[in-house]
Amino acid sequence: MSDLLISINALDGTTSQWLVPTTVRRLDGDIVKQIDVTTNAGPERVSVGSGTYLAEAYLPSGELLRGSTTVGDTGETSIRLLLSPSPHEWLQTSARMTSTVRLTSRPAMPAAVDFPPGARTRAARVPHIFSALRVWLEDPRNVQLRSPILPQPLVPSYSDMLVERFDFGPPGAFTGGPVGSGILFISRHFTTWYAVALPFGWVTIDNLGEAHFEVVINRSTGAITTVVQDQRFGPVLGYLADGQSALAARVLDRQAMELLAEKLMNPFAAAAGGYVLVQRALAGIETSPQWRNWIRNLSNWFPTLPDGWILRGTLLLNGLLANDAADDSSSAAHECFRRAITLGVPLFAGGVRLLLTGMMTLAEDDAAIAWVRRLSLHVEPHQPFTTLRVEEPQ
Amino acid sequence: MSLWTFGQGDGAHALVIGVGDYPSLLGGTAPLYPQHGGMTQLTSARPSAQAFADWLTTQYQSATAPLRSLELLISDAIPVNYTAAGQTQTVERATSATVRKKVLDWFQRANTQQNRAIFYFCGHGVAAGLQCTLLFEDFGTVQPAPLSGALDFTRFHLGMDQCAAREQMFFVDACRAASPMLLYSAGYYGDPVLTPGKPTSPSRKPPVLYAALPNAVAYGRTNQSSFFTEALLKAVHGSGAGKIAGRWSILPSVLYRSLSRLLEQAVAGTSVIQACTVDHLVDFAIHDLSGDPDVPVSVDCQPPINLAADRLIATSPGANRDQPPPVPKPWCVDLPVGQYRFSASSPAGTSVYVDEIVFPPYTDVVLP
Repeated sequence: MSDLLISINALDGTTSQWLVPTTVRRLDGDIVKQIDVTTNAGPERVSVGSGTYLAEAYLPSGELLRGSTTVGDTGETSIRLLLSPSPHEWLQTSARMTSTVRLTSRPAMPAAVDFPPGARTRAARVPHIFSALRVWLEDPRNVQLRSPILPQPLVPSYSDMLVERFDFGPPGAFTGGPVGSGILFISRHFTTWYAVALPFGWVTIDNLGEAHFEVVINRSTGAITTVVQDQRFGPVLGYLADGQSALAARVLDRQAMELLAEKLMNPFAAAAGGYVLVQRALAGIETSPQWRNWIRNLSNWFPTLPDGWILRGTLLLNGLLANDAADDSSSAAHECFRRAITLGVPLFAGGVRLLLTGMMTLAEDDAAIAWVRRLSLHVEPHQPFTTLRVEEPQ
Repeated sequence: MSLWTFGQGDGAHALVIGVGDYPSLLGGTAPLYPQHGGMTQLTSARPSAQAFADWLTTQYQSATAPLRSLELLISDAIPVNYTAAGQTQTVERATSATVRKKVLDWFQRANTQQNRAIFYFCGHGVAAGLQCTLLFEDFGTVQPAPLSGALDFTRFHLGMDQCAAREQMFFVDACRAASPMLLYSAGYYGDPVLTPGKPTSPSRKPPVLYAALPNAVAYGRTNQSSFFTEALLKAVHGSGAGKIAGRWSILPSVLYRSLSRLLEQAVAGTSVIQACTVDHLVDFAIHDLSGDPDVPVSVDCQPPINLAADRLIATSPGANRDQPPPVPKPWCVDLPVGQYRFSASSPAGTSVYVDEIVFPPYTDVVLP
């Protein structure tokens, strides 16, 4: 047997580390092994027999990295996949972890309008970001935002688009608020308003630090994208937003979920992982049902997080979780969804989708369905964090 | 009738709808619906729906779900006849009443667990956020109730969980541009035809391929199939394939990646900006290939290669392709899976080359 060493490196000198699912195949297409490779880190080692092999990694941005080599009977052979500089290099490697590139690949347009000072981009601490989003949805102009946090945008000098990039993170904005607090980031494009909730206290399991959030606004198109600088969960959210739950599940290994679920380190990341696992279970593909009880814990221990209730309700509705109470699972699911709605808007766009599906399936509460359907009209489906879009009333 | 049947037993049941004739939209023959939003007649819907139906009836193959029925509905400016399996029929029009009946018929035909349901729509669509609504021929003809001529696709897709067929595939070749009509429709987004119910078991596999991103537009071409359908039909020929159980089959995840690239290429050089997307992505073998897939390869040449004078050659043990000068930039060629040497030879006899593996969903080569 020989060793095949597979690495992913950025050519532009960036050092961001992301976990990328990578597939090793024989030339005839058969899969030899599926591995996770950390970008800008040491290579992953795969033992193989002699022959020609292909390694490919599909990034959430839509980019395909591929390399091949011929391996002898013994020794080591390398495949080095490269994140080459792109026209969007100002986004650095984090851009590869979202579908930003595809969503914004449009011709440049003139600047929209001259925004009044303070209204161009506004962000504020609010006591509860989930309910704040709901209030904001009613009329974005009437929300009173307090204590604006305005990191200076990084405006790229090289681009065919008008783009701003904001970095939120410790020290400063993320000083460890309670679950449910955070920043409501707001942007306007012509008469369209966007809002995205950024939660306080996103702790990464790899270095136990609080993560930065990167918000990118394309002023040419109005698109707004959020990336959490978490090497494990950044890709998970990117794949989820792109609809690729299979790839998200590959990055989300069991060890990571156990750490999240049992150590209660980061309920937001746990919810993100929950969305991956629920989607796989709904598709009839899951390796172990043990995690379902973790979802129950998530909603019990973090009752102010709407996403925990949505996940739990979805499991109950689909008969994937035993019901604690005497009532039937549909009633229990309805109660979970109702609690989520009471709390406000889910943190993740995937939560809005599941909430919509759940409420339409149950069809028991017209007012609640009407609210969720209204919410579903405003959510950007292919963003990881719930990003709401509201047209200014004429 | 516009139903074609193909043998007995479990298999795939397809409902293919193309709507190009909208009497109440711009250029139509009926009183104009005031909130038409700029929507006009579509000449691309008929050829797109026909092309998809052609693929189903002549090329689609599946060991587990062979084609058992095709229902084709087309609203075009002129009546449409369609021939499949040697049988020619006049195609029924895609009015809301007809579609409602045909959806229920299709649901029943597919309503056993080993069956597969295939849904294809080409026509106008409106959307907002997660909500998607598809418009039938009679959209806007009843002006106080325009959405009575529309399908609430979001709810319809959910309602299809009640169909016992566990493999379902949806293709939506329509705009998803945000519509004020939906935003102010007080929670009514068209007739879903089907009523969602308690989730059924086992889980279904219901991926949806959309021709446009949310809040974006999908484009047709005059009297030709749309960009999306053209790319789709190329992708199912091979580049959307993955290998499972020792066999090359079209898989939704690879199809999506292939389609993204092919759509990008299809609109290149036009003023069109269009990108597709997918929801509810889960893999199953949609279509089995007879042999190895053909893969779209893009060969980009850098100096010192002289495109005006040099010759490009792709060689492998199984296939050789030759591009004499002038060489287009990039040189786009479809090649079977394999290991290739791509070389550029000058008239003076000098040569540069690079070795690459050609593999789905696409391969990019840079010379030298």
